[in-house]
Amino acid sequence: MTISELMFPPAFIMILGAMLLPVVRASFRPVLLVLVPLLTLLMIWNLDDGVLLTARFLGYEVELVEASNVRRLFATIFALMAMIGGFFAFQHARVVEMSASMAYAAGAVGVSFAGDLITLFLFWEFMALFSTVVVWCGGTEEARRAGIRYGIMHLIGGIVLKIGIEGVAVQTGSIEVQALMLDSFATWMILIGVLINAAAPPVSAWLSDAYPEASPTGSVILSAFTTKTAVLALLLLFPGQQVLIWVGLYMIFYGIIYALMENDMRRILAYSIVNQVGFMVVGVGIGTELALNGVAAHAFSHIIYKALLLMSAGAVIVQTGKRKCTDLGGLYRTMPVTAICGTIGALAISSFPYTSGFISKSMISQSAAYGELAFVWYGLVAASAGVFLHAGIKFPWFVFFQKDSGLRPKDPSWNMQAAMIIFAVACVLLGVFPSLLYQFLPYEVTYVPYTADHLVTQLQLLLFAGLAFFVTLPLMKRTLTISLDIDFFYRKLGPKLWKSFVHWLVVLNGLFQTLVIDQGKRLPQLWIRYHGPDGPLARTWPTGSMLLWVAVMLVVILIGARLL
Amino acid sequence: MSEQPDDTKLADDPLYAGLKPVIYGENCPRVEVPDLKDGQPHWLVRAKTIRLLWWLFSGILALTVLAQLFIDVHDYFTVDGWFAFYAIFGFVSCLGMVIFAKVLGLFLKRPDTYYDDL
Repeated sequence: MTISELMFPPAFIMILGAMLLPVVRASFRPVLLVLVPLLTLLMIWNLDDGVLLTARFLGYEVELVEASNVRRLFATIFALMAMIGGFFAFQHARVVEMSASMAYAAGAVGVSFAGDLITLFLFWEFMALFSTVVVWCGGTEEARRAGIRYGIMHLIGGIVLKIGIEGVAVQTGSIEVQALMLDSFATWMILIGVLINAAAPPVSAWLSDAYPEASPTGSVILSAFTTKTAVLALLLLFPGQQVLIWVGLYMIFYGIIYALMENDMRRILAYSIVNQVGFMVVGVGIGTELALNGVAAHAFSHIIYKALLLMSAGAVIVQTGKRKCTDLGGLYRTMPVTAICGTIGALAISSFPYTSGFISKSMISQSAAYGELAFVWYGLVAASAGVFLHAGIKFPWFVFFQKDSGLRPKDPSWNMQAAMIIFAVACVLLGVFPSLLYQFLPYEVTYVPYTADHLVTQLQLLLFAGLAFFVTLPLMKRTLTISLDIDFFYRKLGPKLWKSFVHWLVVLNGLFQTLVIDQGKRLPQLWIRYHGPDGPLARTWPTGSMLLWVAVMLVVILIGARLL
Repeated sequence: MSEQPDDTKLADDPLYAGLKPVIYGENCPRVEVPDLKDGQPHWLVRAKTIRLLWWLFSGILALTVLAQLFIDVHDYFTVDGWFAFYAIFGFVSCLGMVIFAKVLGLFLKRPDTYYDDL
């Protein structure tokens, strides 16, 4: 059965679910957390291609649901993520967080099917709102502040996007979601608005600032939606825009370098989100069928292994209360399930053969080779090695292995273990049977990931990157530090300048008070003193003194005339 | 979670009404380091095991390079077809990134309490 006439968008099921979550009995919540995304999935997979639901809004014909295979693929992984993420969370997360996460995922599903820019914008802002709530659910003072910064960043991004959308609507009369040309201010604004959500430079810092402050379960949810809906939007709106290649390359290396400097394990993983999204942005920039297939596949597998990595980090936090590499280490002894699942996620992010990353990321670098983009290709290969370095080994090594921290936590609750195992199995399954994913990609796949030379070259690359890690281990000694980023300007310099501005205002106000206001009050007295009845300027002058002054003036004139 | 958040401040904020921070891992078991059983550490961290692992790792590294003698590696540009290109390129670029991060760290690293005092 397929649906060609719809009553409501698939996102509405999850919005309803989000509203029900707080009011149902606690024991029914896990059922709802699984059932609602499942129903959504069912609906998603029964949608025909094409525009399925329209409405009139503000005088525009908006397309609430437009389905195609790439949209369906993204919506699928979003719904799956909501399901497994919710299942992972239900014993530890607050109800607010579970409900907000569900609404956040609903926004992502809504964006996936948005046929026009207005619908896209509405769901986009919906995501911004509820993701901010998820950050706040971290429940600490740091989370409160980070949530405010996160919210402001995304509202600014939303405004920029809206300016662009309005411009496009006025100039072209069309609000269709379709490939746009970067030939006007308006389309540039749309691109910038979308790129802000993709954590592109110069504002990449919002991601590593906010996500690690959420709760151990919240950061799992956060890792999936915002950046990947931005990738989908780029894929639909700006395929083949060359500028994206350079933006993506910057993001790739930014992520690696900052992750190498970082000590907090969730911030390491946050930087590696920027890194991985960078690969996708490069793929959109290359824009060939192979590249766009690679982008879609990589977004799909990335959501799974990144969630898996953050789940293992979340499990460690729930069990130990520690989040810094300097406090952790040696946990493999008592947390074997978490350590194994985390390591599988780490191998998948590094594109190790027979994991999901291997079959997806390689399509993007391959497309650079076919496109004869030598510089880009060398960059991507170096970065692939760098991913193994900063996420593939660094994360599991410092958390689960290295020196013994003496901590002996148990593996987390059964549902957390089950969620991790499901995603770990998914990473391996997709890696071993790539056709599971390839059949759903936007274009027909002719790419063959498993060739002898690809296996050998990838193993060489990764294992020698591993060698580099252990050789340079002394250089990577963890320090109790954070690294300055663009957020320095609004977290430190801005407030400091504001404080000194206020300080100088007070000083100036004081000066003004003494010099102007107080003097002003004295003005009438001064007037009386000099011009009053007894004032020196009001006295009558004796004739003699006037004569004297006339004589002085004449002498001055004479001397002056003589000199000239 | 290493520092206890300031509860009173949070309660004053209407945005945060009802949200209390959760403290995780309070009862996480700990042992004295080094943890020795029968005078021996865990088998995985014994010097002997580590030496063995290094030998194993070196063997695998050598194998991946030697495999190129039997497998034709397709080249797209020029350098990438050279023998052991991926091994050398992977190693050198990682070395470069680690050193670059180290140097950049000298300028950008701050104590992790840097933003706390505002």
